[in-house]
Amino acid sequence: MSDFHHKPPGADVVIGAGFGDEGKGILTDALAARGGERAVVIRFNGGAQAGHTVTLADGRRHVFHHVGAGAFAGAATHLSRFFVANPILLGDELAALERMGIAPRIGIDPGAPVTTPYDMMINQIAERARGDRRHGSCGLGFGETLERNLNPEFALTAGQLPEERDLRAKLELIRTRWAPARLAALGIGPLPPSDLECWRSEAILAHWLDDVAAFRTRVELEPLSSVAGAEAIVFEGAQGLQLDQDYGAFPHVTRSNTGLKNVALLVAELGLQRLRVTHVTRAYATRHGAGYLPHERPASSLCEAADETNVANAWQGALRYGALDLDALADAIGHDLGHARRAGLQLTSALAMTCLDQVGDSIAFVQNGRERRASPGELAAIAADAVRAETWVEGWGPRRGDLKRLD
Amino acid sequence: MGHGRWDADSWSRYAASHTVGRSAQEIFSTRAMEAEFDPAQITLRESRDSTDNPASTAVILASDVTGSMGKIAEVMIRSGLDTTMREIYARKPVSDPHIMVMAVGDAECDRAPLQVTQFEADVRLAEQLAGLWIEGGGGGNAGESYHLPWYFAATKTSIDCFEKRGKKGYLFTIGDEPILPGISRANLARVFGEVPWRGLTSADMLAMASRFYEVFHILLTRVGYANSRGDEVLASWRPLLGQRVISCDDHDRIAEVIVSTIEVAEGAEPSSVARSWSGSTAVTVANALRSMGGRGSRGPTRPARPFGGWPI
Repeated sequence: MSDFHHKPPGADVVIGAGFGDEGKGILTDALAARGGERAVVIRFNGGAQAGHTVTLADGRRHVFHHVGAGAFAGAATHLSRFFVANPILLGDELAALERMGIAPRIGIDPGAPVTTPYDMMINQIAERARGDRRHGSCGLGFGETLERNLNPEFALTAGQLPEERDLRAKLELIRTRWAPARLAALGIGPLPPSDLECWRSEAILAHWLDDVAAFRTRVELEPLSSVAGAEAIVFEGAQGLQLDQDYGAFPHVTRSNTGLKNVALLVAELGLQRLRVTHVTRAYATRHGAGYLPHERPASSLCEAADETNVANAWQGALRYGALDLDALADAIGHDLGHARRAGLQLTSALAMTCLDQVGDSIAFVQNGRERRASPGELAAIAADAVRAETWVEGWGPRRGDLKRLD
Repeated sequence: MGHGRWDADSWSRYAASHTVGRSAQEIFSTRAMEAEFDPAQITLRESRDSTDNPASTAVILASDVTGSMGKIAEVMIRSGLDTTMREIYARKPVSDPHIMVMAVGDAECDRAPLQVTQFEADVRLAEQLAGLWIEGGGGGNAGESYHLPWYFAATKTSIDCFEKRGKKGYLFTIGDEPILPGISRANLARVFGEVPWRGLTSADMLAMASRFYEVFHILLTRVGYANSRGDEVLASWRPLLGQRVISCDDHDRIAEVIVSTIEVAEGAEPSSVARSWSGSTAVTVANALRSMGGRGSRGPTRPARPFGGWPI
């Protein structure tokens, strides 16, 4: 069979340009809607700690964690080998989607790491021990899963779940051999009784084994190549460039490459020719959790809307706000695109600016180190120019139809 | 970002929700038989050759889902058969396997004594597995209706492997109980939606199925009924299936046992098949295959007629 008469296959990439919470969900939904049930959304970094909100015209709203944000549009989800799977959380999310009548098809690369309850516990204990020097972690064990998976003896991937007939024995091994060594390496002393109770809970272990059985029935093992026939391919990034493990400010970063690095590898394997990369930012900067946030100020001086997705939680604290710094934005995006182009990726670049409806007549931003003000429409154009994007998308509300200039 | 609400309370809820019985059931919310699996509403299930599967072979896996199996019933359907299916697709003991799964209960007491999926050539079958209802029924009548798959296979399947190439498909029933001696006319009508001219014995139905399928039963010897009254269970099966009753002492190895059984039936040497697995699996498989008559180097055992021809 020859593809000669077909145009070369392409794909969209959605990447957060900030610290997360940029509006990747709504854009992913809009792009996936073009392929409907023949679209596939590929998660290429992060794990279930992502929270991508999609709101439908009829008011249905879901925060996508584990499932690709194209599911409302009918898109399948492919969890790549760079995605960390969490059977506990997937079950809850699927149940929530099912209540809205959505049953997405989900496939996972056999190489994708899988989180155990003990990774989550280590993460929570370590983060609590840091006191007010917290890293801003979600407590879901994402980084700890990757750390454990560096050790073949303790590694657990999606492809190993069916092979691992004695999953319970493997879990015991992780609990009794890996976890104490890891806690010691983190400098954590004897655990308080409440933690020990969790640690030794037979019910937690048994529940997790059930969740894995459910996960295996619900999620298909599939190689990356299985997405090749899709009508629309959308790479959905999690977190943002400013949290990238190599680019962001350590230690308040996520343990993943949030930009095009992983995408470049997957795209090469799929033989995709054309790539449109859209970096997403709000009209202002936000940060969830600890760490550097330039031009920080009260939310009320920037926008009107309280953010529904990011309720304050014990691990991350409340959502923080700052004026958008176009110099930092251009630097981050330029860095990301530069790497990808040097890696040989053919791409066009776009900028999406969301939450323009929330900022009133004018909003403060920073360019060349100086604070300025502009109307929201002007800001989108100025920012696209500053980051040298070839085009831009404007987000004037939480729904698919609120995206303007999306060609 | 913006997930992160997992703390000590979450763990308490997570632990508690398991003890009150939240399980896979909550996700697999089936509470009654789905119409698509109801044998009374199925006219015909087909296994057809295609470009992708030019030499299809029909394989039916029918597992007991009654209460005596306990939690094993669910594990078997959700996990054991899922693994078996993937193992068969991967190892291909027969050419182009087309797999159908059945959930078997008791025609005398259950609301859904038989549920039947489509024949599938790939892991799409998993979606149908998730939709099967684990009724957890069965009664105090010292046996289950393991013959229902035989009747269905004989009357409501059409398979190219036999019709085009004269090669029989494979039919495995899996469970822990004795087989009931037969089924009444009324129950046949209730389960299959058509009124037969009389009730049938298990031997009748086996004979019907054996025209088109190589029929085996996997007896789970360490589970439920068989664990305490193994001899009684075996006594109900041996007169019907003879060597084709395969004793399996580890329900976690059902996939390997079934694949190995097919390989031996296809002419492979039992001892070399057992050796192809590692560790304790090899022991379980060797024990299971023992009944198929292959001892040491004794030749291949294609037990097409291991105890004389069945009446047709």
